[in-house]
Amino acid sequence: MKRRDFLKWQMAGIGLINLPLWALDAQAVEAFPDVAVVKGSPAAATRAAVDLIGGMSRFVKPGQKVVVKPNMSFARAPDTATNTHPEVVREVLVMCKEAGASKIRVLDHTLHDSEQTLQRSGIRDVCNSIEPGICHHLENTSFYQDADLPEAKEMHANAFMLDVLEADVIIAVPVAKSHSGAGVSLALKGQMGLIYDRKIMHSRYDLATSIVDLAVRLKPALSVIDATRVLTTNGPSGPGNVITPGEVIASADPVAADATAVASYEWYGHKMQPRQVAHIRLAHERGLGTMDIDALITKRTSV
Amino acid sequence: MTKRYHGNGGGRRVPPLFFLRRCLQCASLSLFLWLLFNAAWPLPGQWLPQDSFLRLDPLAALATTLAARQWLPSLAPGLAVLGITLVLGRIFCGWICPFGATLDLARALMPRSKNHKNPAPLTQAARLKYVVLTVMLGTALAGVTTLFWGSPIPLITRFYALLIHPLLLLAVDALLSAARPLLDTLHLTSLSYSHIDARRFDTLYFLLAFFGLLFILEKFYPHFWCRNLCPAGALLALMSRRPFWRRTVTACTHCGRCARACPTGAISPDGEHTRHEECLTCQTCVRACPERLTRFTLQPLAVPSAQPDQQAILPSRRAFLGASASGMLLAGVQYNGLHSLLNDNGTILSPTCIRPPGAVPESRFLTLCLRCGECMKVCPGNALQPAWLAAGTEGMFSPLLTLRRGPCDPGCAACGQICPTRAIAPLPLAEKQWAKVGTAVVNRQTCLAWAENRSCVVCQEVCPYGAVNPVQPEGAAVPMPVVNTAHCFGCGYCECHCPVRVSAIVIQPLNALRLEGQSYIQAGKAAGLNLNLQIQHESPAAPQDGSLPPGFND
Repeated sequence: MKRRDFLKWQMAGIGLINLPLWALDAQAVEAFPDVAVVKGSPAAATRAAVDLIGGMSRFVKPGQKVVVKPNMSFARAPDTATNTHPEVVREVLVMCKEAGASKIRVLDHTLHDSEQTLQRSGIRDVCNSIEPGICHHLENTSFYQDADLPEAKEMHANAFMLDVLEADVIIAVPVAKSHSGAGVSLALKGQMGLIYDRKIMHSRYDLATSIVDLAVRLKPALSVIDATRVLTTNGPSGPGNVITPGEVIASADPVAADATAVASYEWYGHKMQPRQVAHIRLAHERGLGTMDIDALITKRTSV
Repeated sequence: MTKRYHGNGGGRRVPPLFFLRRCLQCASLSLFLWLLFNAAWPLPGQWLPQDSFLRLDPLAALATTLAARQWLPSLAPGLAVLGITLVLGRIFCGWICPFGATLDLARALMPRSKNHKNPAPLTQAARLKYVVLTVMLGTALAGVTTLFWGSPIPLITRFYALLIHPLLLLAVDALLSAARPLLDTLHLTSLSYSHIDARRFDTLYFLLAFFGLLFILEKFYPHFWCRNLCPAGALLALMSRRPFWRRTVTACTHCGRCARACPTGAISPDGEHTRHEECLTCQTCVRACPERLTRFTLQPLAVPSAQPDQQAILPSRRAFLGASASGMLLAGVQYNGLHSLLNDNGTILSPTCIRPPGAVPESRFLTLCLRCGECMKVCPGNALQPAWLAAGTEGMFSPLLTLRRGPCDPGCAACGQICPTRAIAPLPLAEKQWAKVGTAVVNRQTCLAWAENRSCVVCQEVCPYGAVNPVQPEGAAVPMPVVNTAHCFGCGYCECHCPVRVSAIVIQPLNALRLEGQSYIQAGKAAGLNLNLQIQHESPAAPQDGSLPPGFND
């Protein structure tokens, strides 16, 4: 804390003397908590959580292209906690618009019927209310392009959504839910919805390692985890046990966001540690972020 | 002559009926294609059933009714066509049949050869169609269906649904892809993401060969199919020996132009006499007649003429009997086929023979199925495929669920609703969700979790019936998929999405429910099934023995 305070004052000092704008920016970065957890209605909690870690303008600059990745892969209503709450998605889009994003796309890649999932999740409707035609499941190969994952351990290439390759900012907006294969499905795991061949992550590679390979390449600048409802059993498809913490978790560090979500709720009735989720542990070890929740500055509040 | 028959030669008058026939033929083909291409789930409730043309096929109606020994109300229009033919002749062939219209279209599109000859004269080859018909009716009499090898409307339906429609979709998708940058520039966001999924089908090379051959024949021998092969045409020919509305000539000059123009060679060389059973009522002769003396009018019933050039070209009585006997023999051979499911004992069920939900018991199914391909056209998952040999030679082109290609959507009941003969029962959605088509079987030798201890269970993730349970045996590093057969419908989401290249979880036709007329829900419950789309997994909600929840590890 002392080092942090020292830096803060130092920055402020330099800023006062030299470049006030740059200084304010730098000061801002340093002043924000690592993770914000806000309790409240879905939209208000989302905005408050993002504001606590610096507001959307910290992540999205005017004119930038943004890809928002929610969970919208199941043809189920919001109360089943298998998809992100539509109001959370709406608030993220509104904030992106306010920050001056030039192009926003809300994208996922479902294993189920595209039309039914977009409709029943309620997400396409809210997206269309912000800007018509921006919310899609991309299933056709013509929307994908092969790209390398230079820092990968196992999965060195895959086909990525063209929109994702050209995006300046990726925002992960997952719902918090259990996953029978990966333990939990949160910000890191959710990035699997942005590539074409996900089968290969099971069949050829180690799932946890390739999730991290992917997250290194497609690291979300901002992770907003919708824990307004949490599917604590039988994920990712449910139906399972749904609890309603009414919280939204936001962080610039996807590992920290995921770790906070794991530690905050009981999975199958058990308190679990972030390190017990293989892909979170590996992401931490590879320096993608920190799962060490005791070392994180977490700001909790209610709105 | 040539010009007069084929083209609108030099300002010649076009008789109103000739014009009307062309219009009706175009309208008929257009309507047929519109109904077929629009057939998609959810089926639009409209004034005309999607399978209207199939219901008009006279041979399908007669042979299916015979073979099934059952009155099929949906096929009644086909029998009505037989009645209409008694009055109006082969008006169905010349004015309505989309198969004939397609052949006409193909001929019009093909380049015409320079040394073009007149239509071929009537030959003994015209007998062949009666032989084909008789064999088919012979098998039908013995309770076996073979009509799908020649019945025109099912064949043309399959041709357009499985071969032409997917080609059109491919072209439209290519256009959409090419236009994407432009659409993006114009900020037509939604449109720029539109695309059309490929529709893939098996047995395409059969359709290509069959119709390719007919189209080539059409160039060298116009109307070869209609004149010499079509069994439905033969059936209508038998009905139109002396139709009330027929060609008549008054004060003929015997110039013979009509005879040379007649596309089926139905007119005697002098132009005066007509073989009405060969006449498609196409009005070409009316148009060809320079004296305007040829007409189609209502005539009193007359006895067939004894003149040799007017007698019907029919097979001999011996040939007729021989063909019927051959048909019966063919049926017998099918009864003895290894795949024949006429009784359950001693026959083989191929592991890939998975029938659509609501398919009636197998022997009834093969008798009723017209192989029209409508169910394959409407299947939203592209899962229904025409069989090659998985259901035996007698089951060729009948629909099979190929679930690796796409799952059977629990929210869809299209195949049963469109089936013209109820070979697949039209079930309400609640019933259809219990019409179990098979059971998922995990191959533990190739399953990533079972064989390699790798984290997966995608099958559990996608199962809409909650039938795959992740079970983590003590000491195992990952959860393993286990199928609860009482909950499994056989929808194939697991098989479709299994990450192993050759799916490690496959649907087999085990414990499929095949009923006719009974309730699938009642039968399913009686069989101990519980096919509930909102089922809770039975995996322990809270592991009690100190083991970790699924997917977690230390």
